Amino acid sequence: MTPPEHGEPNDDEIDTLVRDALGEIDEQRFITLVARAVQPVDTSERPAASPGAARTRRWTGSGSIPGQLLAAAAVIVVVAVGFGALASRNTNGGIATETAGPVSTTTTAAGPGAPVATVPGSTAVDEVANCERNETGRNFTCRVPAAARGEQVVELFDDESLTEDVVVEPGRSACVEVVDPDGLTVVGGDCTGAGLSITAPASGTYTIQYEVRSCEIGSDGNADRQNCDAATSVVEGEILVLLGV
Amino acid sequence: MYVITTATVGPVAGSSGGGRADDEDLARRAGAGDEAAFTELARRHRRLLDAACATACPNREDREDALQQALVDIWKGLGGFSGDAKLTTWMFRVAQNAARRQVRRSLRSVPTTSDRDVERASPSSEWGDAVVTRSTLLDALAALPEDHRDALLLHTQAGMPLQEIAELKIAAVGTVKAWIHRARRDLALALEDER
Repeated sequence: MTPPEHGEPNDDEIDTLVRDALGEIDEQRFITLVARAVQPVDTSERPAASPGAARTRRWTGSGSIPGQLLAAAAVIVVVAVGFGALASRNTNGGIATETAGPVSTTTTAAGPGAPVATVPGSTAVDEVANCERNETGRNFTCRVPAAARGEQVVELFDDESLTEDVVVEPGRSACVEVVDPDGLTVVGGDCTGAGLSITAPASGTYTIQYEVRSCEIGSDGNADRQNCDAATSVVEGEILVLLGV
Repeated sequence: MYVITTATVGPVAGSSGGGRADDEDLARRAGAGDEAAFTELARRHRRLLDAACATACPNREDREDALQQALVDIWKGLGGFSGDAKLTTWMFRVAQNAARRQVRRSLRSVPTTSDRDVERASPSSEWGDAVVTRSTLLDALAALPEDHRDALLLHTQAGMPLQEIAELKIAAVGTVKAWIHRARRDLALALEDER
């Protein structure tokens, strides 16, 4: 083993420290996880490895939406990619005029693990405002306080509802993107699973169009958004954004 | 050392040939619903899947949840695996995606007391008598550029040869070596600061 220089650990020691810090799953435990994976599970829940671990909620409610539909799409097209297109129909100076009515009367119900809104640089997802998912599972209300006005960015940790039902084909990657109402301009998106960020120019109702697509992986290892298949299905939801409340 | 061939495991019933061909055979059978084949395939690539989840999810409990979901995704997805890409590349990506989703789920949940603040890496190295906090190392790992972290963990955790890491990451072997070197250097600097 190479002696440490200037007191620094050498390569072998670094590797050992990393292995010690991360640990490794026991083979017997792993086999247990494998056995669980092949068991039929309730479509509303996934198996959780740890006792008490949070279970992921899939889209539920009316049959018009995501979970089951996307699962079916994933089977049919083999591959898939969650593509979230968000077309704005703002009530306050937005691109279009279609509205959802008085925002103050909208009723929502938060569910477990509801997505939240935040502003750039914020690490606490509940710090700025909450987005609540209504009972249909596809509509949300996001309240962004006045202090955040000007940032006007809503970050939704929600694309997993799509990608969890989707297995990405080799050589391809999953993306969620946000486009303008005409579907021409990408105003936000994510291919890493880190979360979906959009710019909300004003309070109002935004329509989310989830499309199932697949994209090539570019030379940098990330999804090449210029090389994606056509959408195979589209479903819609809505986000009511309330800025400056 | 973990190598993604049958050299590291015993022969598999119903398979023939060596290494990669066996993996593909297992994948085909698993894709058709053969649970035994899936179990063998998963067991064979346990360290790869664990490392893939660790790249995004170093916390052990979250990582186990991520691993569970990765196994579900792979089981469900093998039927559609076309074989255009290397099986291990596909499995790595599926597992890493599962881990990233797990990280996001954790962000939503209420923080709980973590072992990261109290657990310390075992003083198994010859690196002096310094006590290195596990949290320092995990933080330093998390701060590494993604490619550097992926390469280091695939090499150290999964024991993957540089050539295979290069194929998986779509990069030159020299680049992978540089990533690992820089990752180790950055970790060493972080640990030195800790002392």
